[in-house]
Amino acid sequence: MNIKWIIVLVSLFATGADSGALDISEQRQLIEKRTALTRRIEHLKQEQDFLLFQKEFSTLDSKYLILDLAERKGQLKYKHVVLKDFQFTTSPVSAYKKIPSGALTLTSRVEKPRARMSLAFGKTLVIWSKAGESSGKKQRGIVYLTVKRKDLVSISYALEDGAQAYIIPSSGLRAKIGVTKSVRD
Amino acid sequence: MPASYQRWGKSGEAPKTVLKSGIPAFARMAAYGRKANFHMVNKTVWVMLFCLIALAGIAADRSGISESKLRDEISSLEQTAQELEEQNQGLGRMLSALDSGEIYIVVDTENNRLTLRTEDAVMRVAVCGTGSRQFVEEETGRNWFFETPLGSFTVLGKERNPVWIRPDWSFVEENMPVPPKGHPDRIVRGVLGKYALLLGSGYKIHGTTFTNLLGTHFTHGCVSLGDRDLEAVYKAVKIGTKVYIY
Repeated sequence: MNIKWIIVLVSLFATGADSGALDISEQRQLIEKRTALTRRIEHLKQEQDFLLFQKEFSTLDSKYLILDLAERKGQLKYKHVVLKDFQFTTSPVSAYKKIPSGALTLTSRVEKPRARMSLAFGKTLVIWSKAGESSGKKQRGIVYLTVKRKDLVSISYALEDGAQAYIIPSSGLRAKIGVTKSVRD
Repeated sequence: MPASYQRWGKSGEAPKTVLKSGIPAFARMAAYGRKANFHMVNKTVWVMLFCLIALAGIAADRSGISESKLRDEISSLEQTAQELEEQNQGLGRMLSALDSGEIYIVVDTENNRLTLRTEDAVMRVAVCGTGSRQFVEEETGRNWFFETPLGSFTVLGKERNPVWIRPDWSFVEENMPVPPKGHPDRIVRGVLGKYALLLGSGYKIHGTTFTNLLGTHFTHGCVSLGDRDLEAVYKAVKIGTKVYIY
């Protein structure tokens, strides 16, 4: 065989000679790291959006709601002040998976009769009481929060049309609703 | 010996024929266990083997090129995450600074509840009375609407054993003639409880003799509390305490 051919073939072989097996595993680790970082950045962006919302509303003369769907807790707030804490049940139960985090706007409400009182935030969310739940008809695709009637009454009275509700769907956000302790004498 | 054993080039055969006869020749040699002789095995088979190995190596080498890009991307993502983290910490600190940790009062006029609380803890919830939302009109045309004002206020003063100076509407309500300002008939003691918190514009948080009406809309705008709750709230707050009425 021509010696030139041997040199060409050996050169071809040498360009490819590599520890292929090690690179693949290292590459996989890097890809996993990239995925984890991407997820972390997404989480940080969600957190920042919530913080910016709170910052904006700390100066506005407007009441708003903070809703933690995963913890099933809510707050009525004015500027940075908590006016009221309340709890709710969700329908569906895994509501926190259905709605992305962010602000919703109060678009309509039913005030009378009191039993059917409800607050609707677009076609995404409805807040009502147990009485409303039993008398009303649920629509597909809408998440329903059921609160105590007295809570609904005061929230409804407090919120103006166009008021905002901010949804915190996942746990772990730094600025999420804290537990309000009750201290009685 | 078959023609395929002859050296390529010398045999003058076309590559296709060489390939066709070379592989079977190699297989026959392997089957008979004869030692492979580089000169006896078809050159094409060796070329194919080397090319396959080279391609595998080149592919592996190419993965090395994307690895460096991957590392650059990771580095960029880490920087972005770091920046976001710092921004969020700054925002968090700014928001935390807004919370003074001080006690404040919240009055829920729909449910007639007064809450004494901080940002994180509820100290006391009291049943209260708020504005009746009634309308009173005098013959002269003067009228009054009794509603507890909504909004944010500040405790401007604290009084012990407050005295009620009867306003005009209290006489109109009872169909009594309205005495002049400063008249002794306007001074009434013991009806506002032991304490009062002044909110401005004549509005106060004070006691009441109508304790059976607490929890309803019965006042003329002030917030009424029972004796025990009034004392607790009076002692807990100071001048400057914020009051939020909604």
